[in-house]
Amino acid sequence: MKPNSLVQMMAVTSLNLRSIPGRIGTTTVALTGFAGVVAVLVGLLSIAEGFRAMHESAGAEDVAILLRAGATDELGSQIDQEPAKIAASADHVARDAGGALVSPELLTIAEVPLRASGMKANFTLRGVTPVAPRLRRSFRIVKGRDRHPGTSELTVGLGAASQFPDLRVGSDVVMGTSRWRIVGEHADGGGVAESEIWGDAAVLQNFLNRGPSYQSIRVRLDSADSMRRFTDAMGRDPRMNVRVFPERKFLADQSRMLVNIATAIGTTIGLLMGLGAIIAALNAMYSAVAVRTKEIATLRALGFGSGTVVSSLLAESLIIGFAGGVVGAVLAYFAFDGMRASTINFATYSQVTFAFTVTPALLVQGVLYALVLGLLSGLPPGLRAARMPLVEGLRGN
Amino acid sequence: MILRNFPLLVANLARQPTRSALTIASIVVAFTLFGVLHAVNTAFVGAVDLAGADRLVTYHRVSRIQALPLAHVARVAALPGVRAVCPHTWFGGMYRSERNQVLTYAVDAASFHEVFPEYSLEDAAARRWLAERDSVIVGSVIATRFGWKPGDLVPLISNIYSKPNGSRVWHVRIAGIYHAPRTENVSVFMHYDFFNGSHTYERDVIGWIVTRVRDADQTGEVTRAIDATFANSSAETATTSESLEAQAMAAQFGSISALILGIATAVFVVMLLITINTMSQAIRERTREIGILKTLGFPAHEITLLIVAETVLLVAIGALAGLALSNLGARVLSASVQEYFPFLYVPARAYWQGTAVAVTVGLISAAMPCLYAHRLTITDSLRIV
Repeated sequence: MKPNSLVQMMAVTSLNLRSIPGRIGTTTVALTGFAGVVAVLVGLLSIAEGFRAMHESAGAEDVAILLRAGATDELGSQIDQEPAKIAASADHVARDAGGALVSPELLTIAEVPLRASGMKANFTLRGVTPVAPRLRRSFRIVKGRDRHPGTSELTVGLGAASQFPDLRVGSDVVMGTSRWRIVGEHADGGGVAESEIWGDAAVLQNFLNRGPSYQSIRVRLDSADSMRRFTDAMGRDPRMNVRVFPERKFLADQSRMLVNIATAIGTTIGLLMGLGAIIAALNAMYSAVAVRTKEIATLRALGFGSGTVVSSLLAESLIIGFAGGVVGAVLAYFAFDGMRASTINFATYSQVTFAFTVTPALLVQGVLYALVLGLLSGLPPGLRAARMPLVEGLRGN
Repeated sequence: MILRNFPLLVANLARQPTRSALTIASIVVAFTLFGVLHAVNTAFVGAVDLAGADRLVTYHRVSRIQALPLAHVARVAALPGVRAVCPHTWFGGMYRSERNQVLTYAVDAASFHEVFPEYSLEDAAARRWLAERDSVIVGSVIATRFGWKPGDLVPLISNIYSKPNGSRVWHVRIAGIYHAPRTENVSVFMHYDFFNGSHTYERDVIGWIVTRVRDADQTGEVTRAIDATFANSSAETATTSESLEAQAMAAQFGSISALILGIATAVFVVMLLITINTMSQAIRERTREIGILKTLGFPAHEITLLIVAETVLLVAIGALAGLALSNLGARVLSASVQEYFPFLYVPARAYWQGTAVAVTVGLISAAMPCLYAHRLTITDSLRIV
């Protein structure tokens, strides 16, 4: 483009922009449309980001999960005490004052009747030993007190407690005919444990008639670099019929399905809305161009090139797209970020609570999408304006 | 009358082809969203309206993942009012890799058909299934997905059960392909006896029991009778009707389903409002033409009819195309989430509800301009520039 045409383009664009107040109606429609699309798209995709964030923040690089060989999740695994003892004396296992950080954990599903709906909801009930909180760096009791070992007391994750009034400190969880008292709320840095209920492993083994068996063993290693060597050592040991997963990968796999579902639904609705917005904006832009036929023809009669006219119209719709995108992104951030909700995770067959997470990447994605929408809706009317025969345009119809 | 004026109708639609095309396109998009919305809703609600009214599900009272003794089955079957009983056990199947989950259940083949009469299976296939211990029946959808045919020997991997030789690969023979109306058709059913005799876990336990009652009115009594039978035993039970069970499952999706559906519904309504506005405006711009029609002697009611016919036609074309597209969209979406949402499809009610909405939108769009046109005097209409 010659420097002259650039100057021309800027002149026409600024002329266009200054005339916006004169056709505020159509511009507002287009801008609102883009903003709405971006807000909804970012909002829906922030659900997927929330799942991801929750599962990833719980997965430590230096923690290994041992399941029975062949199992792909904790519920389908059963492992007895022997592997836990062997793992405790293995190389590369981290230790603290209380001994090796090896945590055998039992898992079951507690079905808690909800007073609000009269329905039951499934929760992961994890039976743990005193090692479990020591192994998790972010674990702490945020309300009430911790459980007394050897009792049927429970603590509940703060996410679950915030979403389900039936799981507050002081409530009872009834399983079969026995009652379990919730004495505290625990936090775990935003991770999955915040959706779980925790109890005493030995008491639960007894209650469930499971004998001294667990579902998984978590092992903290002396460093993330030891994961490979530890995994190999466990694989070589003929007494161990186990499979070792890095915790981060294991939890990412558990969230994969939810992330995929949320992304698929969010993207489908977002694309459809985008199409709708393009059409609405096209309608608006066509009428904007129709109204300004005479004006555009005059510009061209004065010697402004048709390329200049097209690019200035495009620039205008890009600016509207950008503005709409930013408004939508900001709206989505304030409306959705941090909002808490719960749903069922099929991977664990129980409730997960999560926070909608509007990431910077999502915001950028939203604004880019709005720019594309703006471009697509500006191009056809611009071309029509540029192609129109001058005489016809000047006559106005 | 409509037929006589049909060329006029077409001419009106072709008057501003770009605008007509855009209006139809926006209606298409709106109704595509409407159909997809229904499909997503069906996925969330799942099997609720498919559940048999005369079936009960019995789980361990403590937790549904606790096993029940096999002996419970015979005791339930002996209760008055019970027509048939079929035990289920979750096998946790995978095919070829861990990414391909196959919903596999070990059941009692002999009572399966009596409990689930809606699962249709060719007689020969049903006989084969009963006769061969290692045979399975598979849903038509999953059979298509993996290219399975009757007679195939399929290696299913269990993520729970291993055989005495330590292998977790179970070779099963496909006896037949079942198809059940309006249901998922993605499961595999194997013989409980085959499975129970071969795995290395605790024997003679099952996951849950599905009971079909003789009379749907007796579900309450049979439910209480089942749970009373096992009260104070080491494995107490909790029994619910299949439809309550499905509702409870749907409720587990929680607030998130309401949120997604709420947002999408709001978007649909906004899209319709914009469309209504565009169409109304398009007709208002034709004041002069309407005046000419009146001058030519068209009676007011005929003009009204013409306008109504035009908008309704426009919306109907768009709505039908949109619903057809949503069917396609739901298939694509369904393919990516099928393992978890086997029920994602556009339900029949979406079509008639969509048609009703389309006609309403057409009428509303036509109402304001019609009223205006009706009252308009010829001189006024021709005067307006």
